[in-house]
Formats: sequence, structure tokens, C-alpha cells
Amino acid sequence: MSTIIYEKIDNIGYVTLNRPEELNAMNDQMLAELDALLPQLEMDLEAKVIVFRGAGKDFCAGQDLTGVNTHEVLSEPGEHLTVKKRMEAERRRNRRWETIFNLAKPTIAQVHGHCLGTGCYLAMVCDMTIAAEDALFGDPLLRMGLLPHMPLWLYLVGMKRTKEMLYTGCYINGIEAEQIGLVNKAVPRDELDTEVERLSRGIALLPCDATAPAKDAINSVMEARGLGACWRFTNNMQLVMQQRKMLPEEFDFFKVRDKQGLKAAVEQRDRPFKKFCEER
Amino acid sequence: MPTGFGWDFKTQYMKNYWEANDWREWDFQLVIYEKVNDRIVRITLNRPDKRNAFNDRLYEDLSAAMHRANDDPDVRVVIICGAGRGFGAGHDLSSPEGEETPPVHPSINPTLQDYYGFERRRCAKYEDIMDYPKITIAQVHGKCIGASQIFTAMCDITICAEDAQFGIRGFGSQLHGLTEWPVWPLWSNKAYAGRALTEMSGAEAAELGFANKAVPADKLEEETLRWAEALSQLPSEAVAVTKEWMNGMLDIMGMGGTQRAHFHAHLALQYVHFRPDEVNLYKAKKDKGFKGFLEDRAKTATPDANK
Amino acid sequence: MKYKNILLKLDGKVATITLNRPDKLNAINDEMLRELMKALDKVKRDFDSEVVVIKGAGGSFCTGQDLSGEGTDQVMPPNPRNKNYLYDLFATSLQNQSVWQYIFEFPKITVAQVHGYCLGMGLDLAMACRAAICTEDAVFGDPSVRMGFASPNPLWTFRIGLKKSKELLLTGKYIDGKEAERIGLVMKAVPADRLEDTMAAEVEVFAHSSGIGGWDQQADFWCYSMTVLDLAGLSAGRRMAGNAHVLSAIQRPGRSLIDRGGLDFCQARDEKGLKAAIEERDAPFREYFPQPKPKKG
Repeated sequence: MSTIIYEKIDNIGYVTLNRPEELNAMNDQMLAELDALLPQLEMDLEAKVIVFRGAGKDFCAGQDLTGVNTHEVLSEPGEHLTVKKRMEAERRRNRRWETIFNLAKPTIAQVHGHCLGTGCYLAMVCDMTIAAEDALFGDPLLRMGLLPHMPLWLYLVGMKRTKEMLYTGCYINGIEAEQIGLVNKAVPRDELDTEVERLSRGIALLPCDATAPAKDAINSVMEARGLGACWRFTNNMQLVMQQRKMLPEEFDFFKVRDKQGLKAAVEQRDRPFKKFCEER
Repeated sequence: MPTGFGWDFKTQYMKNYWEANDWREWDFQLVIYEKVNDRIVRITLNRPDKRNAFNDRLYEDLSAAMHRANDDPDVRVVIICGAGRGFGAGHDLSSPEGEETPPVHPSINPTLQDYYGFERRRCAKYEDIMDYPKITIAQVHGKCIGASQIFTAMCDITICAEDAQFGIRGFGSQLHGLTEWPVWPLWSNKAYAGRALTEMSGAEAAELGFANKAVPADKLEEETLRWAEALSQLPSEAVAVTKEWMNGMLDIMGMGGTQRAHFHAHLALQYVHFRPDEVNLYKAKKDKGFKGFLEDRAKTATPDANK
Repeated sequence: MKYKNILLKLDGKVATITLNRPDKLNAINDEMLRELMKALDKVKRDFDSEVVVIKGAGGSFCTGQDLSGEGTDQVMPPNPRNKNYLYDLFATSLQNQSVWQYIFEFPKITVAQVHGYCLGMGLDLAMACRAAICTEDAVFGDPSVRMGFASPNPLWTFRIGLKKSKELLLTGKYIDGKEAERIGLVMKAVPADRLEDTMAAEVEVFAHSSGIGGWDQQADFWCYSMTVLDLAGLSAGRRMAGNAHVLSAIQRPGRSLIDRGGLDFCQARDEKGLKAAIEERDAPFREYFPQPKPKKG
């Protein structure tokens, strides 16, 4: 069973993340299928615009944190890897997002349900994001001592909000996401499909020779604004983070997961912040 | 150390490498250092009679306090707030000659070389706040003007009272360059054009992303503590690395250069020549004293079309 | 100096430049751009002037480049059916970059007063002003992509952020003044009968913007702001976007969007007239993107 389904309907290419039982969390298989698909997305001239979406009740809850078949997803603490291997791994991980960001045709993220961690990154690197009003965006990586390795945060929502989102790890809904510039538009859940269809059909009218340079002009300005350097810098800081010392009293997500299971680990990860986030 | 100014600078700090400096035995005069709990320190700028305006001593006290918090291995979050009616009125413009914190009066006639050293030390202060390896939360009520506003821009999180006031008529909000960066997008018409000249309330600041949250003034301390308690749960090394990452990206995005460009803007200010129809405020301060200067400044202040 | 396409008024602290081709909805041709630059230069050298209002005569601010193709060697890319040299496109691009940099960096306070249409290069002009104020029913947009062009304007992401920039530039859609205010493209959107009063009040604020250090302080900090933006990548971005624009414009029949089903705007205009060509350009999109219109009267 494919973890990514690609179908082309009326010049629109739909990429559906397909692990609905796991909230479309990304594991090695999904990343491998995504990697294989990316060149195809660009080469298919009939697909004028690409829509990323999720099967089931969510867009994507982020990295698969089970630790099973997730070597490509993230390097866990305790893994004995050389610096060289770590660098290569981080390069690949960020390159994936950078590639989607620079895909030479318009991309749209259609977001409902949970959009967290790397799921949120996918939505951010798409050109436009349309969200259900009750979709939930967030990046709780720092709670696990992982670097939230997406430079676009700063470019999309600025200094203060980035620090807020990444330190608190709180989730925000589609409406707030629109207010702060994370998404283009938030619509009622039952209008999401039509809204994205309208947008993608309108864009699909445009020739690829027009949309490719039009997108390039904007992405080039982003590159000039330092984004290119920020991708690489982010890779490097991932390695620094992987060297951190954990204090004895600090919460060790991966140890707890190994001993008590993923559900318990997530619950314990989020518990200290639960009240704060609820009262936001 | 003799300079073209003709006096010795008391504050010889350069970039305030947070682990490297000798502030460890320090007697706080103008700040209050408080451990709210093991993990949270509250530093109160305590010069209410001068509306917490920065003079050399206040800045040194603040640096020493932040050092102490950094040296304390349990501390994870530092809250900075102001005593009395407001957060801070910026640099103390009434400071006597010899103080480094207010702008240098052109009549002293320093060399450009003196100026560069002076500016570098002054502007390094802002960068140091940004580089602080633990989480900083600015808790802002009342007026927050000039250097005090830049200070809050450099902190990680700003919680403010809804009726706090960032910037001041006659001095503006967006004239510092550094204070623009937290507002996003950087040159939104909402943020730049509308705010270039007038004050920005706490509520407006939160809407523009300059502050994270605005609450009624009587809820300010409680709200700040809520944030501090939540954020103090984060693993400390992870925070230091994350912060270094974010600041590194900001440098790549040009903020580092902005700090330096700030010098040029300041230094050029020393050579301002007033137009015939303008009030010469340096002259006013000289002839009428600080109070007269404030009166003249209020007269030239920008009328506010929004209100 | 006698201008044909603009009006210039100097009045104490406030100068006003009016785009004056109302029968063409103030569409910009080479001559108008030259006159605009001359007028700005005059304002720059006028000691008393501190604020420049830029507005449009007649029913609109400006509908962008003059798409008739007459007298537009600088402001429009050449007809792709001509055997165009890269040299000409790049030379023009470099010149345009310095023109738009000059307008954006203009040392007096520029304020755009927008009513009616503000499209394409007209929107570039409004964006290049320090501030913009509009009527609620003003219409903003950049339909470049519908004509096969990338926009050379690097200011988009600085003004309205990455997501909204892509939305507007990859669809070419139009938005009204209220939406423009909401996303930060303009400072304020007001009912049409309040535009003049609002402008007068805001201009008064801008004219006294100097603060304690006077006009010199304002000039100092403006130059510092331009530096900050360049440190943030604006200048390089201007070049990058300019080059992407040239790439989009150099495509020629046999090797371009025109062969692959895209609109040949120049041919449509030459065969059916300008109005019909614009209709052909925009009509297919209305089903997907409602197209606001300024109110009549």
C-alpha cells in the first residue's frame, strides 16, 4: 500500500499523504516515495499546479516518532553516527523541503486536522496554504530537545511570533494562522475542498512558461534575503543540537518512549505546557 | 583612558560575551534582582524617579544582573520589567557630561575615532541582549521609548499592557531600524507608514507582532509569569542552541549588519542642522535646561491624525 | 517645465504629482515615466518640499504600463514576435532597476493616493511610495503572469509577506481596497468621499514627522532604513527579480508559452484591439477569482 498517492485530474496534480491511521506521520517509506515523486511532479508538464493534502482526518502530524523505520526521518539521540553521516542526513532532510519550495510550478497545501512538525514544514514550503478554520498548526519539537529545523518560520511570521511558536510549542488554529501570515486563507472545514479546487483550477489556466519565472522571481528575492544561507545554516545547527548535554532531571522523550510507549511519551512531553496552551 | 572627549570612559565593556565578563561581585543599586522560583529571575529596572531611563550605572547593573542569572545553572527564564509608571524612557537625556549612555553633545567636539568607539560600545549592548543564551521576557507597562523600546525588541518575548505606549510623539517608533525587525512583514504599510510617526499602543504592538501578547495592565504580571513558567520547562541546552540558530538566521537576514549600520545613523545625528522653521532642540536644552527642552519638544511633536 | 503626461504642484511642505493621462486611465508610457522622474528631481531640489503626494487624474490612479505598445520601449518588453536581442532586454532591465530604486529611495516622503484601478506598474509605483492610502473600492492587482511575465518588483514580500505575494502574483487576481488594507498593502482604505480629508490629515502628520532632530534626522534615518533593507537583501532581490522578468519576456514564438496554449497578448491586441485583448486575458479567470470593480460615479 502506497504511503503517497499521486493522481492528476484536469491539469491538477494531487499528492495525498496516505497513512491516515497514523495521522499521515512521515516515516522512511513515505519519504522514499516522496523523493521518487518529486522529479516526476516537475517533469509532468500537464500538471500545472500541485496540491498536497492528507488522507483521513489530518494533513500530517509530523515525523513518525515510533522509532520504527524512521532512520531517514530523524537522527535520534543515542544513535552512534559520525559527524559526516549526520551532516549528510541533515542535508538530505532539509534538501527535501528546499526542493519542494523551489519546485518550478505553483504548489498548494490543503490543510485540515493536524499540521505539525514536518507536516507544518510541508505546508510552509508550498506557495500557498489554504486551511480549515479548525486545522491545528504547531511545532512541538523543542519540547523533545529537537531543533525545529525550518528557516521559513522567520520569513513567514517574523521574530517574535517565531520565538513564541517554537518555544511554547502551542498549536494555533487556521484562523490565527491566517492572521499571522502562516497561511493564505482559512475557510470552514466543509468549504475547504471547493476553495482549493477554485484556486487550483484558476492557476491551472496559466501556462507553465509563465508561472515558472513568476514563482522564480519571488523565490529569488527570498534567496537574496538570505534563505539559501539559512537552509545550510539550519543543517549545521542541527548537528550542534545533537551534541547537547541532557541534564539528569530533564525529560528524555526517547527513553520514555522506549520504556513506556509513544502515547505515554507524547503525553508527558506535552503535559507541562498543556495548561498554558489551553489558556492562550 | 584619555580620549578626545577629555574624560575617561567609565564603562569599557565591549561585546558582552556572557560567560566571559567579570560582573560576579556586584552591588546592585538601580535594579532589583529577584528569584521568583528556582528557574525564573525577575530583574526590575529601578530608577522610577527618572522613569527608568538608562544611565551608565543602570546599564551596568542590568548587565551584572543578567550575568548572575546566566551563571545560575537552575535559571532558565529572565523577566525584565520597570518600576514605577513605565518600563523605560530610553537613554537618560539629562545625564551629566561624562556619562556614556545619553547621546554625546556636539559641543564636546569629539573625533570620529572617539565616536566610533563610543557607538560600538553603545550598540553592542543591544546585540548582547539578543545573544543572551537564556529566554528573556520583557514585561512592559506604561511608556517604552527609544533605547528601552529597542531593548524589548531584542528580548525573545514581549508581554505588554494593552495601554502601554511604544514610541513617543516627536521621536517616533520606527526610526531606529532595529525596532522595525520584530514587526512583520518588515515594511508592511500597516506597520511602517502608519507607525512611523506616532506612538504604538500595547494592543497595536501585539497586533503587528512587535509584542507577543497584550493584556489589561492589572493582569500584566500574572500573564508574564504564566509565560515564564511554561517556558522554564524547556531543556536549557536546547534553548541555547535554538536561540543561537534563530539569531544566526537573523544575522544572515541582515540584522547583524543593521546593528552596525545603526552606528552610522547615530553618528550622523551629531551633525544635524536645523531648518529655519524648526525648533533647535540642542539649543533649547542648553538655554532652558532639560525641562525647557521637553516643553519645546512637545510643541514640535507630530500631530496625530489617527486619534 | 511643461509636462504632457503629469502635473506638478509645489506648495510649501507638500508637493503633488498627478499622473495626467485620464483618458488612458493614467497608463504609464516612456514619456510619462521620464516626466515623473524629472518632476521628482525638481521636488528633491525644492528646499521647502517635504512630502510628495502621487495621485491620478480622472477615474483611476493608474492601470499600469500602457499596453497599446506605443511609446513603451522602456516600460514594456518588446513584442515577442520581433527578433529581440537579449542585449536590449537586459539593458532596459538595468535601466528600469535604477529608476525604481530611485523612486523607492526618494529622499522626501512619498505618499500614494489611490482611487480606481491600481494595477501592474501602477501598483509597483504605489508600493514604491513610503505610504499608500486608498478608497475602499480601489482595485489592486498585478496581472503580469496572465501575460507571461514575472514581476521585476522585489518589494512584494517586504510589503505583504511571502504567502500573499505568491497568491497575488501566481494568479494575477485583483483585490479591493479593504482587502489591501487588511494585508498591509495600504495604510488605510476609506470611503471615497473621505479620501481627500484623510490624505490631508495624514500628509499633515508626515509633514511634521521630523521629531526632535528635525528634517536632517529624518533624512539620516531614512538612509539608514534603505541600508537596513539592502542588508536584508532588497538590492540583490531587485536584480534577481529583474533577471527572472527578462527570462519570462525573452520567450519567442516557437519556443514559448504562446505555442503551448498561452495568450499571445500582442497579437490579440493587434487583431482585436486593446480592450478586447485585456478582456481575453482576464475573462477566463473570473470564474475562479471574483474580479472587483471600482464603484461608478
